[in-house]
Amino acid sequence: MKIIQKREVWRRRTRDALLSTVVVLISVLVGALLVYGIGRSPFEAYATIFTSTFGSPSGFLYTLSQSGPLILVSLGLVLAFKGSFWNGGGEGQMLLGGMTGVMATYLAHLNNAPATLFVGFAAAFFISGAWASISGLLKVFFGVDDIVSTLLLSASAAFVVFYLVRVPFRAPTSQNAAVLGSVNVPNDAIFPSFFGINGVFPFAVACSVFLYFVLTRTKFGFKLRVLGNNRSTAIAYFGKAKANRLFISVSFLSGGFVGMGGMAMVSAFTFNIIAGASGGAYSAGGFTNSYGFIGIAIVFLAGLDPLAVIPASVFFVALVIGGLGLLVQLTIPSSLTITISGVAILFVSARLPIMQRLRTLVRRR
Amino acid sequence: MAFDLGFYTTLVGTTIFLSAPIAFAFLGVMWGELSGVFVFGIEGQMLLGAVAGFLGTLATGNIAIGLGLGLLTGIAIGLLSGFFEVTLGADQIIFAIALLVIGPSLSSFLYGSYLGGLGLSAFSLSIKTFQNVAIPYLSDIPLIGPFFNQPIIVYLMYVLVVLTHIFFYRTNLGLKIRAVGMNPLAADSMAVNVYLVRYLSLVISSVLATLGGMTMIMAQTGFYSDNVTAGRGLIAIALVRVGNWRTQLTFAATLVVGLLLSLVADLQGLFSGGGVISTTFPYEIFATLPYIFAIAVIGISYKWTRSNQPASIGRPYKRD
Repeated sequence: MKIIQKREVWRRRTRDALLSTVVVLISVLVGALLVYGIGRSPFEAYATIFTSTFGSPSGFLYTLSQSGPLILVSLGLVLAFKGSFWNGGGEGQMLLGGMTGVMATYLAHLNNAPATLFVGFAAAFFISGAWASISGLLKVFFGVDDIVSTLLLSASAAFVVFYLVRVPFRAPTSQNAAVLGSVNVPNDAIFPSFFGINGVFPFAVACSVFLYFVLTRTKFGFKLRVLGNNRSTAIAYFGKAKANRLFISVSFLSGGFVGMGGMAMVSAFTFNIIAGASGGAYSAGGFTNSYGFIGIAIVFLAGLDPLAVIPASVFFVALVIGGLGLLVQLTIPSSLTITISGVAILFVSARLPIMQRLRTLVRRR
Repeated sequence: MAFDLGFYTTLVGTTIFLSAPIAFAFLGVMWGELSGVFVFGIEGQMLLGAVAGFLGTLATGNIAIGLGLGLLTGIAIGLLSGFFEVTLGADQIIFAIALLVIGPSLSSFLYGSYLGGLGLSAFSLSIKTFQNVAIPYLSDIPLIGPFFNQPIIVYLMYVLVVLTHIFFYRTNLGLKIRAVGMNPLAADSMAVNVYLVRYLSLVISSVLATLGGMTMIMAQTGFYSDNVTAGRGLIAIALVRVGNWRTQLTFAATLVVGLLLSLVADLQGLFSGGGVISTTFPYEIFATLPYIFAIAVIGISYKWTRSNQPASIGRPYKRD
């Protein structure tokens, strides 16, 4: 009995992985069509993306390191979607996390690298988590759609960060009115590298293994799955107050992990926060690379599995970094690679119905 | 900032002018959502429409061709959303997030490659915007005069708001669309073609969204920059909830946000230009006001009104 069940699970897993690969291939194909449409060679473009990310050992290690923040962001979104919290505000939470990390480590003056890093990550976790739990509270007590409130709060967070960069934490050297830079994080808060790979990657992998065990082996993970699968069942099982509390803590933890992603980005790669003058919803910060949205593609391609998030993140980070190579070497706008991930999200949205159709087709035969 | 008649006229004029794109966007959201489909990706549709209209105008030098191209983009996106959300029955929120990702990046890609093809840098290209057209006699009335001294696309907005309201709440066909949004199974048993209704609503919704995006460029800025819509689509989604899916209430809320936006422009100029208070003043708080207004009103109204939200929203209809 147990063996049959296991085989069934594995069959489902391979089928999911296959479908995700097909989705990724289709979106890469759409990207090739776009490049062809502006009169450039798609082969050249993808060759550039490949060589600038996986072409050399150091480039490969750099790509792996860069995927650390994206893994953390995706883990936050895995938690959110497991608990049916529609977190569309990953961008704002990530920005806020990075900003909090800069502020906390700059103000802490600890002269001790592990302690400074810990303070930075903890502060980012709490502030971003608190920001996201506003949406949870609004949903539970005021019936505001979580997706609407997360999107709106994300846009507001950009303005908060812009103020913080412009006035209290502006770098003394940053005088240009169009683009302002914040103070750099202290040297203690820079994530160390080991053998050419930055520490955020092992850290993020450890987090995803931890989350995998929490979700599959603990009581909390079970409750979360019940809440995510069916809200009314969760209310019937745990009572309304407990289900609500669970929902709010899900929103807090989700925002926290996304915020840690922002802090990881700052402490390992950018070291400060840049704010553009146009002040639109997504323009402040500049270091998030739309990870708050790309994370959603990753989460659903990975089938809400914290371990499958890792390879998916590496792939999408390679696209983002390769996009920069595209801009520098071929002057093709780097936003192409974000469009490719958008197309992946597009097909992910139709994943379940397509699966069902395929299944009925197979059964008929 | 003296509070006299001249100030009042400018303020009202700017308010209408700034609410026009949001008004088009909220009409788009209403068309989609009253037929039972979430339209959270409106920001992306606006941006794609804006870039299509801008590049079309730029390439041909004819604003009518640009408008036509933008509207064709709208129809195409509408058909695409119809295929995914109606025929396939895709998850509407994830689909909307896909539009939110594709919109900004694809428009930036198209604009960037167009510029790259010409070998130009950004901000060097602009198109002629619509000029204000004063309607004789009406624009001379003291208090409501500013309503009638606007670009032609704003008059189109007035007409569409009124027509949409009459259509949804005074005609048989509008009732059918709302019925599809409330209970598609019941509507289907009354011989309403649910799929056709949703396709049509999505196409109209998407066309209205692109019109909103083009208004940003053709009536306001005259040039394209990345994220030119700056969250207007997100505000429109929230405003439809503020107005409880009623056209007149939503339009009133849109005017409030337009007023906030025009005050923001004034206040930011006042506080950032080294005017009243020093430059350390957090004038960004004004820019967050529309968002806070929207969230606050949605939260407060939840307690003492019956939500008018279409009951079947978010659930794809499948005929067995």
